[in-house]
Amino acid sequence: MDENELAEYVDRLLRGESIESLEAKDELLKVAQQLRNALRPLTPPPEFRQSLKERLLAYSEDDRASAPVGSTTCHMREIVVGAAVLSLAGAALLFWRNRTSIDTAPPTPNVA
Amino acid sequence: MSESDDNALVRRAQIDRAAFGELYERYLTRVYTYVYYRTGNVHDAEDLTERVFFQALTYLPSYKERGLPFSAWLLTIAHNLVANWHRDRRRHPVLCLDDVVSARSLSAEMEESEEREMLRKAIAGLPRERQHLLLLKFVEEMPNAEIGRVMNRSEGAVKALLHRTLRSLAVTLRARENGRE
Repeated sequence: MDENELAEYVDRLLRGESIESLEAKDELLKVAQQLRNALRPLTPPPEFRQSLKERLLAYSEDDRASAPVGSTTCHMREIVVGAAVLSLAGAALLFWRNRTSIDTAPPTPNVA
Repeated sequence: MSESDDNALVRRAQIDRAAFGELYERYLTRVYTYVYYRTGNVHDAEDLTERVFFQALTYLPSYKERGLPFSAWLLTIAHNLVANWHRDRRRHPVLCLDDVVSARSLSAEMEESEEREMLRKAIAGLPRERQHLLLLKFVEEMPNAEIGRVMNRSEGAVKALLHRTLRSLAVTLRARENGRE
């Protein structure tokens, strides 16, 4: 059985289709079925569920009063990008002024 | 619940952070299950699940839809935190998943067969990336293309990795079976 066939059979298995006849023939499908049986979703303890929810909601309430971390990061990024753009513009202006002053400078008198 | 409903809820939670509670209810079990299978004990599963949701809440304003379900974003956070957790504690996943075996075998609701126990030990011996793949495939039931986007691989590469992983598990199980006889 190649990888495409196997992938297809695993998807069929996960959709709940019966592939028993094939499992008997193919060792990999047997392993897939074993995995399907063993790796079941687990329910977290109810007290943990409730307590975490309360803490998350309390955190989001506190967080609303102050600036969220994500937006602070965004502002920092904007400041850095802005500074970089200004530096580049300044450098370009300086370069342009130097070029202009060279072009318009009076010719150096020939001493000889 | 469809992906578009999920996206609408995420957009709402980005503006009104109180709506995050609804996202939490929707995804808690999936995150907890993922983390539990990767760490192997209830205490660390709770601790890391908590960190996943606090990190998600913090970074939700910068979350961008990339055509993947929101769960993929959450599980990527979980995957990174679990990787850090393994690194910080210098624990090998074999030990952790062995803990899963013993923790779950204590559960009255689950009569572990020898076969299942052998399977979990075999999973524990896999590289972390392959454990990640098995959880995305068999617990999350994600399509291969989606797994590929989460793991930065092509769909073909995911199928090939799944094939190699199942083959490697089959070889390990066969060896253990023979050793038992």
